Amino acid sequence: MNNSKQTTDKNNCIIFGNSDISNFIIESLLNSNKNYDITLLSEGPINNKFNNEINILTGNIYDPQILKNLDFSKTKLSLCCSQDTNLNILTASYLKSLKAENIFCCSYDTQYNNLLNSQNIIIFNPWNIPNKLHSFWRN
Amino acid sequence: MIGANNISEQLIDWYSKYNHEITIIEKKLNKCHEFDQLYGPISQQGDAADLNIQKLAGMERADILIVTTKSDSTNFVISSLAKSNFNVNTIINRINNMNYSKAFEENGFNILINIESNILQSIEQETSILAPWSIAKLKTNPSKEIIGIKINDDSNIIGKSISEIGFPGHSQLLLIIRSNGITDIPAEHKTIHPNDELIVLIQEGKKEIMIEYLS
Repeated sequence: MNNSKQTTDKNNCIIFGNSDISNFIIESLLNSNKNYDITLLSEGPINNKFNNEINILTGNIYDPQILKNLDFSKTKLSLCCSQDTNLNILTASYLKSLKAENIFCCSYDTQYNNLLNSQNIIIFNPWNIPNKLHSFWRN
Repeated sequence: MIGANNISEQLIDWYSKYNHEITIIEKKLNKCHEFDQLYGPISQQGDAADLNIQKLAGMERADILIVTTKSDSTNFVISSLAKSNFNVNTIINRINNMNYSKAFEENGFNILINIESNILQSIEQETSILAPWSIAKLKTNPSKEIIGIKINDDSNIIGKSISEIGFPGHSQLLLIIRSNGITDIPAEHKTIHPNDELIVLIQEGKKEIMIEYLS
């Protein structure tokens, strides 16, 4: 499914950054028995164990070529999961400006909580990984 | 200012002439010492993406924040913290990858400086025969822009008066800079000579029409 466009009209989930956390979340979404259409976007090359089950894009969210493959109006969940907190905040804020809904941002530093809360961006970290993401399933 | 580097050094020289209070936040202790020795005690050592360091540096008194680190995401976080916690009015960001510019602009950080764009602009200006360069963008509605255009030797408008040329309705000639450097206020009877530089106010996005007119 590499480099394919989002295919469904609902329950799309976009995950930014290839990390242990993103792999954990992908696994839990795939195990939730809900048919999410998951897209993983990473700035670097990806060798992901879920290659056959998710869409994989390599590039930068700000790249117009990448953006045209993502439709945030049809995206139920957006998760910024890279290992770089600053990059996650920049990406999450950008997604907010694109009117994406249910944006999750992995932040390793609590001092940014107010900043993210003020934009209604949901914060998580390796010690507090959202474990009920399938509750965002839209029928 | 964030980051003790060549840019901040030049800015300190310039701002201190006008008696402004300047503080530099810099991670590296040796850089802080270097700047303190050169300019007096102006540096705050620490990570500018740390709220406490911003507080210690006196961010609540800052009128202008200039963020020039080499990481766009770090610049974004520093700017966002300063804006949301200390209401800093004017925030100027160095942006290294222009792909990020939309993210900054959408979050209210409109003053973005990209070094590559500035170099390109300088090259355009130096080789500016009928390649207009942008001087300023005006926040009017509709948006307007002041551009400079150097007139080529074989341009059709050479020898014509300004009234004969008849500039397009969406534009206004503001100034003529003659090839010897003398500035000339435009008037209907004045004529255009080879290598004159025209400073023109245009509606944003109408550069190509203007080039066609003047070629």
